[in-house]
Amino acid sequence: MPDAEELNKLCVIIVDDPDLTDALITGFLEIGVRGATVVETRGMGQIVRQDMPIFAGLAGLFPETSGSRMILSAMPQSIIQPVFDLIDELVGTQEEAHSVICFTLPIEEFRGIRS
Amino acid sequence: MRIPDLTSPELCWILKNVSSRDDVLRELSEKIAAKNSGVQASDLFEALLERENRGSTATPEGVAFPHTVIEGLDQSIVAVSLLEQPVNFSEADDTPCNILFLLLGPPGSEWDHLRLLAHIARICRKPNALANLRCATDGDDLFERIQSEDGNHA
Repeated sequence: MPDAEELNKLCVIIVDDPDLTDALITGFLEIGVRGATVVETRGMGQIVRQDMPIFAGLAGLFPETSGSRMILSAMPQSIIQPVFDLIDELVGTQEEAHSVICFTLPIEEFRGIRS
Repeated sequence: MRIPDLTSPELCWILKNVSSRDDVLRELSEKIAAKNSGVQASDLFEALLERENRGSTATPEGVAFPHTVIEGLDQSIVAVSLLEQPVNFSEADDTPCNILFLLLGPPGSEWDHLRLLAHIARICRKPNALANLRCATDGDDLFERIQSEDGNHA
């Protein structure tokens, strides 16, 4: 387990397919990621479709989705590339088009894990 | 972490004459205990059974991953079996299993164990890999096919 000082990147992944989420978590475990927070989320298109009748006539502009998940994980720089490779691999194996967004942010300060 | 580092042709078998989950786990426990003097077959069988009773390790692809952490091992091992007669791993399973990856690890290796399980699970998500393993004719052939599929895995 990397200590807190090594967890210098926040990896953010937004994925619209529950099956892909399971595959991602399995891949995380294989890579050695030991923790992540998974949040059930809704995209803007879904809110426009479901909650904002004024835009109902234009809802077709947005893809219909069943919701998405956001995965947040602090990790060391050394495993960012394997995570991106994993995402490329998983998206490439899907028969249907799915949306996956992944980016990293620098973590400047970190508290909360005993090293 | 690679499967061929943790298994060998002596830990890969084509099992015949087994017709239930318990038969399979009992036979595998005995085979593994015969090759690892620190492992008692009855203890291993009970541990594997207890794990399966908490929730089946079988997947819809017809693969099962029985696993446990047990005293008496120096390092993790993987035993691989192809069943001539597929068996159900739980009453709720719709898909009988005919490929088993049995993972054992010493106490204290839980994270490595989890990582290894994820590695094998990802290989087994690939239909071509499973089709290849299902064509094995004996333990040596099964081991070679596992080496090949593990090598193909990124």
